[in-house]
Amino acid sequence: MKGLLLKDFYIVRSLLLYLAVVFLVLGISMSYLVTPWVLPVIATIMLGMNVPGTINMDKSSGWLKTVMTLPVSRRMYLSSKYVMYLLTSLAGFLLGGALAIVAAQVTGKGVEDSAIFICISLTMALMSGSVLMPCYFLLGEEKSILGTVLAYPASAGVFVLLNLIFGKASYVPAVSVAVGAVMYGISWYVSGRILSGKDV
Amino acid sequence: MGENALEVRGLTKRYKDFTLDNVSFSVPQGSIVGLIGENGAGKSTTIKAILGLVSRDGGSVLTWGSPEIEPGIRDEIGVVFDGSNYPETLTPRQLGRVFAQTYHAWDQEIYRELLEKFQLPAHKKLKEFSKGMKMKYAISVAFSHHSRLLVLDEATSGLDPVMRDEILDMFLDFIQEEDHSILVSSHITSDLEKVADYIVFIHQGKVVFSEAKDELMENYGIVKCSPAQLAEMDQEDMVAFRKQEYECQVLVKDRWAVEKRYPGILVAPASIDEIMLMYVKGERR
Repeated sequence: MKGLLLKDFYIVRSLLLYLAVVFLVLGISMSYLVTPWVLPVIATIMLGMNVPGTINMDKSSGWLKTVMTLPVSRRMYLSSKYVMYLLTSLAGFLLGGALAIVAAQVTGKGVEDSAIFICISLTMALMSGSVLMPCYFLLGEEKSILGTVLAYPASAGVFVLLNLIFGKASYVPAVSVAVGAVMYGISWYVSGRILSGKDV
Repeated sequence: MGENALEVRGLTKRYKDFTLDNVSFSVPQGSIVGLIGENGAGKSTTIKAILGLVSRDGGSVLTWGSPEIEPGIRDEIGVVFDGSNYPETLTPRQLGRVFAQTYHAWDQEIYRELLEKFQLPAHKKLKEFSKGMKMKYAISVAFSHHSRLLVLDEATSGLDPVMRDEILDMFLDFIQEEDHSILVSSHITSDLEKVADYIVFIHQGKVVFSEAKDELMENYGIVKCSPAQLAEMDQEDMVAFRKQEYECQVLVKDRWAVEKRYPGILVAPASIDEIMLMYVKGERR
């Protein structure tokens, strides 16, 4: 799996400059307008969403065919993407979190909102990942874009739904993270089952 | 004939508009088997089914006697597909590191030597490579992890004659080891005439013949005759024939027997191209 992760790391790394520019523009304006604690949300999503993109790149470049001839199983290939998604999302989360702490100090906006935004970051990453990944794995290159269109509104919808069901109780953000983790696990398992029998 | 590196038995794959039908052949250890056929005949589907890229609707594939190509076995199989099949934004240097973490028997020294031999810059992104360079790169990778079996799908296409000749020499060197084998599909049948030990001809998803190349070249022949002579020929002596305005061409399986039987007829040896053409385009009585 290390080789597959390394290959995706090279691809994500080659996009970092563009991502940094977008993140700076978006992050500074959102920090100023809303709260610096949106930074981990933006960074988590921005970094994580590159991994489904590498699945389409694998298809269009023919790498997917090559992978099937390497001494790794299909499940391992799939798992490498799910692991890479978690790793890049985590990197974004940590980077965004660190920048948010600095920005909160600079703007004097405090840490009151931090917990809810941290939960939103994790929930959005896990829930959207659970929708994005199977769409990119199982649909064609064009249709898989649907995954990007659906994933974020669907994740936000589930988050809102959980809030409506449980009210404003303090444990709701933690529950939504747990639901996101379960959805991600199910997505990982189901995609693996389907991909193992799919023609390449 | 020793143990088979690869044995394909009754391989069947059904698509909406195409069926790979009961394909059987074997790749003996220490030999090169050429897979020929026109575009869409089923060569690539056969290779994909062998490698497990597509599921099989029937039949079996034995690799060194093992019924499944497990990840461990894949370590020993070098594969080259037509075109580039690597991430275009990566460089050979980066991909070398990726493969070093993937193949257990990856040999960085051989890889580096091959990149040098083929004059492939290690620091350039693959998207900057020409088609020929990409093919050479794929061949470098296939040779860099101590494979025992090479599976090559149109591996020499896109290469100039000099480079093709060099690659063919590499194939011949490769099978000097008695447990090494190659399955190669190619449109360039002259390449196969140079290196193949066996020829498997696939037409419309079916194996037309699977024979030793030397026997094929020795026995098959092309008869050039008049329509009247064609009419006199026994159906059993002909594989297929083509009628032109003043001349007929007939593909025969045993040119020595035909020469004896019809003394006035000239029988020339048939090339693989001619055999394939007559099977595909020729008529049958």
